[in-house]
Amino acid sequence: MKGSEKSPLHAGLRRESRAWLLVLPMLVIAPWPAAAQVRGLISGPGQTAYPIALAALEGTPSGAAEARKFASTLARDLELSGFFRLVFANAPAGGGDGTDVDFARWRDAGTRLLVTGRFRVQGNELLLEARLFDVAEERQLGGKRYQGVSAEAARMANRFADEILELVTGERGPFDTRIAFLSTRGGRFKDVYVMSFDGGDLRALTSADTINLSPSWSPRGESLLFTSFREGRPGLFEIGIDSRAIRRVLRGRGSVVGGRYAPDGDAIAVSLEGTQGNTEIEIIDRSGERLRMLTRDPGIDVSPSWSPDGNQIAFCSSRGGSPQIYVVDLSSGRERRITYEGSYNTSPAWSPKGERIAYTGRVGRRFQVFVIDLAAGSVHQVTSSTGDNADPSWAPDGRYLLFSSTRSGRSELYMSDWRGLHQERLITGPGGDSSPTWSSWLEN
Amino acid sequence: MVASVLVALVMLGGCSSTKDGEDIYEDDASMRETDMGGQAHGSSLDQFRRGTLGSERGPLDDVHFDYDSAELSPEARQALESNSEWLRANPSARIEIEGHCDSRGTAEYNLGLGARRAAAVRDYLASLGIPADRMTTISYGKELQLCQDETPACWADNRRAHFAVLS
Repeated sequence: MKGSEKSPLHAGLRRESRAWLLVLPMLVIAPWPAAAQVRGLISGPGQTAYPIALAALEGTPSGAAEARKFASTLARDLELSGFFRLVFANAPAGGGDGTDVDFARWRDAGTRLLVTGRFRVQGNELLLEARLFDVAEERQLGGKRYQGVSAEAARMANRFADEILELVTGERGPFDTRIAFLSTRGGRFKDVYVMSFDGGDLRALTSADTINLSPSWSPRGESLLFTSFREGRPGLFEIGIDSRAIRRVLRGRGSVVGGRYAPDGDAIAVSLEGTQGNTEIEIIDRSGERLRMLTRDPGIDVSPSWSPDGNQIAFCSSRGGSPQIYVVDLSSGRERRITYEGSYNTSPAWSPKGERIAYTGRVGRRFQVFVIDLAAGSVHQVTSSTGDNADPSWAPDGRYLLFSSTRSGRSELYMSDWRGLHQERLITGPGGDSSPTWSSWLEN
Repeated sequence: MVASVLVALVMLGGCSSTKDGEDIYEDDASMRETDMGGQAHGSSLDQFRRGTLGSERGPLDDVHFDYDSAELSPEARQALESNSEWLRANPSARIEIEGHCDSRGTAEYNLGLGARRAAAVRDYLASLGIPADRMTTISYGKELQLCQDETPACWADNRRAHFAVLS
């Protein structure tokens, strides 16, 4: 508890239960009552960028490195969100404890929102408080107190960025998450890599000197399914993020391609090669037991993606003469085609709220990311850059997409608002990065 | 052919989290030996590992395909007929037929397409009298490109069925 009840920040606020605190490796203490959304804000990613300033954090010199990490990570998250424009001002610190904010000077500096904070480092422990103020209305919109180890400064920033988005837009941001992807930065083969959203804690999970494909998160984010040739022909495997232990889920006589966990984690949809080289979508359980064949047609059927309620699966099929996106209803078995524009549409990704499907489609000689609105049937082209843009993956909040793009001359990872506004490269490095997949929010 | 290869040492370590209270990997928390059954020594995957993909010539010629197609062209059938003569002259040889694709499109779709190309070749060789038990198939999708340029000539080279002869 670290005396949090005594903190002035905590005065008059709801006490957190002791049991809850004991469970968390990184504590979030004393959330302020959630304020309403910022009044008068009408914006979206890439539309109206809302001015926000970060005051210098108050604290001891021994925690300066952690404070810098927090500030730089928070600034990057806020810029990537597309909702904000960072205001850099030679304005005073202050307000770290929630008092003495010089609102007039911040108003003069041209900001509407202000983040203040203070921190303390004791041994390996980092205690950090951050607050969000509406400068125009001179009121605190919210604040969080984080307690963890020094290495978690970036994660605290990601969590506070999520909090700021919730306070300002009404919906939690997508930053306290991980990204898994394939990369050739470690050798000639694509290996499965994972990193925090901010690019920290980047590590290779596989190094089997063989072909690895299609990383896909388990619902709780503790493991990834992936396709690998590590046992000869392509099979489905699962790897623990922390343990890096690999288990085989399914190996067949033919190819096993691209498994995706059902939202409840109890089943996996996967493409299996039968006779005549024909792939069909099947449902298997976590131990690889084949439960149900979903498609039965002579076309190529690959790349299943579950609807968030688990009742439907989108997939790619060549049954109509070219690869197109179809949806199968699991209770009725009824299939319907949903893409009609273009002659090559693949890799569907169902949005977390269920109303849209992102996919990769060919335009001329290039591949681009598209989003189709399922109710309206309308198609929106997300990317239109030179180079190929492919393999979209949704943020857990449903507002952002992650995808690979060769626009720079090699394959790299980008994120953008789902409409394609504010496209930003996320990471760079040797080799090529591809097949990104965005985790759900991290558990504690 | 069965080649047993030690693939992975899964390290036991103190790094694992106990917070989740569930460990689904218990069975694998030890050294593993994996059966590489069916993978030919002369496979494109092996050649890629050695950095010799495309420079090692076997006794059987590749056959090529049109874009997004697993249909055998007259030229492909002709090549397969000459390959079948070699197979008849070497009755103890077994082959693995590899389906490959060009770099366009997604990895998963191309794995599906490569599987169909390999199956189409196997079925045609079978129709020429090659016993099915001498042939296995595998799809490498677009993962093992002979040629890296984004040109029509390069794409055409990459859309192929390759034959690895199993010794």
